[in-house]
Amino acid sequence: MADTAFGGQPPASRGPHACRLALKLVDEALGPVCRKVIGCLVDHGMQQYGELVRASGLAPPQLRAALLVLIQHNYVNCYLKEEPPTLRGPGPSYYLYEVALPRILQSLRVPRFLTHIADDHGQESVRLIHNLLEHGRLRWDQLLKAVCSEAAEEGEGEEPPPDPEVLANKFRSLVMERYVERVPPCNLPPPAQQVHPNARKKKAAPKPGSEEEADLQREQSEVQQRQGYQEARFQLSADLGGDAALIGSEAAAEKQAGKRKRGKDATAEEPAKKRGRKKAGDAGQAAAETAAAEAAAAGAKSAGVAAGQNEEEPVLWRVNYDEFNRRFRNDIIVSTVKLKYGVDAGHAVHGLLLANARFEQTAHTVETVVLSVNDASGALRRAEKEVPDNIDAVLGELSEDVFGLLESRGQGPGGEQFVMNFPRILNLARLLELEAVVKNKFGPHGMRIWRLLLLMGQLEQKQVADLAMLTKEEAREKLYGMLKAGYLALQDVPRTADHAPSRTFYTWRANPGVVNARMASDLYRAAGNLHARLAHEMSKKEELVQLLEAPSVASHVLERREEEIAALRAVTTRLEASLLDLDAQIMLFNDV
Amino acid sequence: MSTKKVEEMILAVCRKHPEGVQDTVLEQELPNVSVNDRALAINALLSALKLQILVNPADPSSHIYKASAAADTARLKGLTPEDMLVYQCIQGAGNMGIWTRDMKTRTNLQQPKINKILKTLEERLLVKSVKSVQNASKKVYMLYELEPAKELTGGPWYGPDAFDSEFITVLQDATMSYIKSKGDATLADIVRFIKETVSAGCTQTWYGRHECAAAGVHRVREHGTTSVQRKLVPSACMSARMHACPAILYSASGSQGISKQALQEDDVQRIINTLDYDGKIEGVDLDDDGVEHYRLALMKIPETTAFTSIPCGVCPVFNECVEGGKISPATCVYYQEWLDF
Ligand code: SF4
Repeated sequence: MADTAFGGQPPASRGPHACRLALKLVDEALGPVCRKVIGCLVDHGMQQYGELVRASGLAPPQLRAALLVLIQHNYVNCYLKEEPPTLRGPGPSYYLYEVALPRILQSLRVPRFLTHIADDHGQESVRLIHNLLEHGRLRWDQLLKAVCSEAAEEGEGEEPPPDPEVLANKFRSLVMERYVERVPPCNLPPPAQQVHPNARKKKAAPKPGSEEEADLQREQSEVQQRQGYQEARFQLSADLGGDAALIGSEAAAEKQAGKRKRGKDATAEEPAKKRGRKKAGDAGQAAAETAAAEAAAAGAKSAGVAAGQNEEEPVLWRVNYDEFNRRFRNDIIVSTVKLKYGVDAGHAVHGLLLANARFEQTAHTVETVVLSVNDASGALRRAEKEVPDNIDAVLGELSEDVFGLLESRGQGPGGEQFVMNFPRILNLARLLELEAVVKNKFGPHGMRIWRLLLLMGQLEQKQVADLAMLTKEEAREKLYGMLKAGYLALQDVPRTADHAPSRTFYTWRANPGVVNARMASDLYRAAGNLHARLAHEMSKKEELVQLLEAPSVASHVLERREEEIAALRAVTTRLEASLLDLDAQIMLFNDV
Repeated sequence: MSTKKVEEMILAVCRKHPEGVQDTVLEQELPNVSVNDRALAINALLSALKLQILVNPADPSSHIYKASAAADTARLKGLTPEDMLVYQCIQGAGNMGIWTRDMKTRTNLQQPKINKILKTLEERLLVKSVKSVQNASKKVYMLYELEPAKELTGGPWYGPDAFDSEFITVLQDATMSYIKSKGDATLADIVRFIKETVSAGCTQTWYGRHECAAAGVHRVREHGTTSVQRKLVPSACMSARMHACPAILYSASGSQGISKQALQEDDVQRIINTLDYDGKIEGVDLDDDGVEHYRLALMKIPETTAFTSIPCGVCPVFNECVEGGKISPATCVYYQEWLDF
């Protein structure tokens, strides 16, 4: 959803309302200078340092400091762009800066991340994740220090300090469960331009020694560099005991994933890699050898750097938001399946999702790998969850349902095998939310009309009134209300070439894709408004807020203003809680 | 041959052919009667309203004669030939009715004259005017005893003057309560349920109070004199979420009801469809026999969402709201109200 623009529009998570919210969040977290830098990057896209100096109007030292803070908090991505060599020698290279909008926007989700970790991994892990979130990116030794000093401050000698070995173990498991990842190296090439499949041209294999061949090789080496980071992303560093055995387990999982059918989205680089190989093969043995040798050299270099195999470079860690989103997505899938097909089906699907976990690195996967009944039941048993008695029958039935959540892939060694389609069930969850929104906004009759149009396709106003059994006046009022809010579309079908309104049919339709996109953007807008109101309420009581934040205030001063403080707390709690709830909906519509 | 005798012979032939006879048939059946005698007798019968002259439906260029019923003769007594012309014109339109403008073209009479005649006919309860649901300002006329066509009245969903949303709501409630009690039901079950409840005896009381074992006492609403005791006033029992009595609904619109429009299977299907669109029930083919079974929807639409539980989610000026503008989050009255603990 997040990356699928609808009708040529950018996705809502890059739209104006999302940007407005991101600027507010940066301003709140890091101050106005950082907000200015992010504003420039939002307005102008990826920029070099020099361009940023000109566009932001900030003094270079100030800009440099702001950029460092933003990079430290992972709000800005940094890439090294290397231009092709010219006749005079190697081409210039420069750093490009890009705003990481998803990370800024998802900072709203931090309390949920912490609750999730507290529920599943205990208090030490919460400390680790909390400190990592606070500081953005840290080395392991820095993180350990931060956690220990925080614990010392809080406990003030009452509690024993956390055991570094326990913390290290917790951190290892967080990395292995992909909650924490290595920070991407700043010398990765910028992401490849996404070309629409329809716009892709079939190119003939480049001639050996031609410029096209050099371009192709450069592309391949960039792909390898990115791939290198992906492979090293969750590998433990040497200071965490990242030895061959630990890395081996990761590699084994990868290897197994490779054996199975990959999810359709499994990193955009993959098809390019395959294309590259094929073309290299076509171009002849010599060219292939050269390309392979060069690419291998470049890839090995970058992978080595990324993985920190020489470990001269310290390894920086950061929280992997996408893993949280992936788990929240799974929760949504399981609860929706339980609603639609019952509890047993929910458990069975949960088993498939658990079994699929090690084969997916992102929340944007389209489908699972091929998984058998035994995979699902084994995963449930390992997670100490309930395994339905008739799990094979439940999964078999699900695969026969017309909804198409599961697709059967025949029998395998572990029983019948399935592939699960994520967008289908997620769209169903979104649809339920949309129906509730339409009902709340336009009343039960509005929802009746909306669902009617969704089921029947295109209808005229009179047909809508007839089928929904409403008066013409009410149907008209609801239809135009929904049209204005963007939940319905009106199409004119002229009967004559002059487009005269009297000789034109006007038909109504509800397009779920458009409405999802609209909803996704409205959610950011509403979150922006909530945030603005929260800021307004705080600024109204600025003096009180300062008083509350002051380190030492006489108790009688606070007692005297008890009522005022309670009122302010009630208002801010309601606004903050609503913002959190809204963020859960934002996740469903934008981040999975 | 005397005119009286010829009149009787003509009437006898007409009664033998209730669908009407053409002049040629009269000529064949009465070979001994001369053309003149026949014409005189027909004129006398027409002026005595014992005979009607109508356009031949098989061949509009010719005409046919029909004997009037004895009761008709009495009812139509005293009408002028022009009144009769208009009456017959209205009669020909059947239960679809006819507009005065069309009467004018068919009868070649002036509009004021037609209006005057219509007034007379309405006073004598020979014709009535009916408003069409398609065009409320267009009145059509039909014979008093006819029930207007579904196209005119809009079917059972229309009250005397407007669309009857309340009736539909009550029907929906009745259908829902039946499906809820049964677990799942087919269209035939629901139609049968409604019919059986009628025969169980909820049909007798049309005015004033209605006693129903299931729902206690309801008052039956009366709209004017003609068409309406179609339902109870359900507000009391509906607000208490009590069982809505479908018997009253059905009987009101069933054969005993004055609206005389029985709910057909497709009418009940439409009610079921609206429940489906409302997300309250869902249709499933349980036995794989192609017959749809209706049951309560498994996936309930949530009552509220995070988006709509904040003021912005249901704000009528959501699109006009901008920070620093006339309508803005800082000055928003909806937030003011929402945060007023
Ligand atoms: S802030 Fe107030 S005026 Fe603006 S959209 Fe929200 S509810 Fe409406």
